[in-house]
Amino acid sequence: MVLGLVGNDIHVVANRVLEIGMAEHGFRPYNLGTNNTVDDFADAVLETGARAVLVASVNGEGQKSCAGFGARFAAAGLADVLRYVGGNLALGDRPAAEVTRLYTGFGFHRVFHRPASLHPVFEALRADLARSALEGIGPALVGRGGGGGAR
Amino acid sequence: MAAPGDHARVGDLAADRHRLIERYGAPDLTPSTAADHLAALPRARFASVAYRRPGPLVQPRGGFPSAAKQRALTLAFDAAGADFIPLTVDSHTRHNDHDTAARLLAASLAEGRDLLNGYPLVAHGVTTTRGLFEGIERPVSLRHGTPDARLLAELALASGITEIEGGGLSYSLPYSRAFPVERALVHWQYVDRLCAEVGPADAPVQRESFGPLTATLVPPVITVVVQLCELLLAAEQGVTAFTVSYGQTGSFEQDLAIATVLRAHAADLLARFGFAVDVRLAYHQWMGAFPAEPSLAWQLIAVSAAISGLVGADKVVVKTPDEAVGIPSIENNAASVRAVRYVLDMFPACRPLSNEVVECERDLLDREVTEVLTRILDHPAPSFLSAVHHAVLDGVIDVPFAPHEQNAAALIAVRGTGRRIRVLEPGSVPLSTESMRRERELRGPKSEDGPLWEGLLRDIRVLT
Repeated sequence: MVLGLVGNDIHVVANRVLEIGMAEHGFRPYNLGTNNTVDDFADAVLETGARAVLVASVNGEGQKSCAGFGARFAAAGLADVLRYVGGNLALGDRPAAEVTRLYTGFGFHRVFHRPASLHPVFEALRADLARSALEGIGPALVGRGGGGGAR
Repeated sequence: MAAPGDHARVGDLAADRHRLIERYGAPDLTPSTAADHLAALPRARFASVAYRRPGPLVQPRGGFPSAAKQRALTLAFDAAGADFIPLTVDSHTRHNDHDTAARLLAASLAEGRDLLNGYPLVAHGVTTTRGLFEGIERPVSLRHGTPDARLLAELALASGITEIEGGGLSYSLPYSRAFPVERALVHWQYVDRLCAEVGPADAPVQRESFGPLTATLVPPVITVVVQLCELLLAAEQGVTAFTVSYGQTGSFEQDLAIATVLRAHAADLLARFGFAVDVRLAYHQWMGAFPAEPSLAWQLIAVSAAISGLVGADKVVVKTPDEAVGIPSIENNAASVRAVRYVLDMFPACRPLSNEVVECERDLLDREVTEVLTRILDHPAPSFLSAVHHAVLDGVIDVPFAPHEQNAAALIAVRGTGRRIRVLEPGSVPLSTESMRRERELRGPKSEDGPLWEGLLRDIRVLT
């Protein structure tokens, strides 16, 4: 899977911990690091054949970089790739449900706004990948709302 | 072998300087402005002169967009008794995006709120910046994070700033994703040579490296090696006053060991390659995640001030109780300076301490530094700069949690017994089997059976 930070964001600490954690949990992470665009993620998925992308934004400005993420992936023929987003996804004290709705609207399957732990991310990923291996994912998952990590 | 030496000194700085200054195109900056201004500047304004007093000298940080607020901060620091006055530069200027910095400065002034996280030195220019320090009898230190700081350094020196922080590694790997390390190293040769050229003979311009790097589980060996590389690169360019630095590790024993090893290796290397440099040691108060509760933050600042005295630092770079929240206010900054000064006064003329744990840390670090430096110096590169560049590309220098795409990010460090930072996976950093055996031994038994990533998060937030 492909992970990285989107937008003009250089908060690399959690990104690196996530990469280490994913490898530890048996996933094969390909880390794009900081300051990526939607196209960088799509290109990396095409190059690596990844089944999932984990997009992170920590500086609270992720909205403008993430808008239309799902549509962009669909246009690249990547509608079936699992799309997660997490981090500090909005500035101030916006309710988690509202933030989840917003990013689900951008085409993410699961949203982890200010997660207390990374455990729910790994659990959701394992479950979603197992399910997708059986029945394929994509549009069916969109609209299910937030993942377990959203507070 | 890529031995550092005078032969690496850049020869054509005059032409480069002329081009750079002409392109900037301000009437108050010519190639002779800095040297003329520094020659006439009172000697109390020179960092290299201030360092003749016993330390630790107190250095706060601080930068605001408007000159008025920066002047108010400067006066507050002066009144609080700071030994060094800072000028911290905003992040747009750090990336040489001077148009954005100028636009946000104008907007800040128009809207009456700060839209920049520091002082846009290039946008303000020489005349305004000189005015900030009128009547101040203390040296001013430039704090930034700029991979290409040529223009910034020109303006700073011409403005009477006598200490320039940074370096080709310490201001690229932790601060930039894509700025090529080799270009950063070459641009810092310019800055080093410039500092060596424009300072008066009796009061050289002080160069300072930035040891904390990412301030996130950086093992002491990486800190020390980066400091020594930047010291040697500066010495090659004729710098004679240089400060090596490091950040509080979270382990008192490792803090003591680093001070000893850094000083010893610096002296050895300078003697070995025939350089005469007055080396100083700066200690950065905890640069990692700060406690949000002000009463706890104050304890951290006080303990850290005490450690700076106990390691025999020449300078302590201070933090503020607002650290976890955002950019500190003028009042908070000044209060920190007073608090640190108060603690330091409790340890007059103290001597470095030692015990068996410190000695054990010192011996291991000394061995590790020798191993990594030997690899760098043995590289069949045409120059020391090129050997340092290759060390980054090969992962011989590997800074944990650096955002830079040329950083190997294969080294993993954790906290072991006594909260000391231990190398868990060396990646391509050439630590010997014996050193890694010692690292494992000193790490001690794993406290809990949780996954590594959970332990890392715990270790990173250790003092919050």
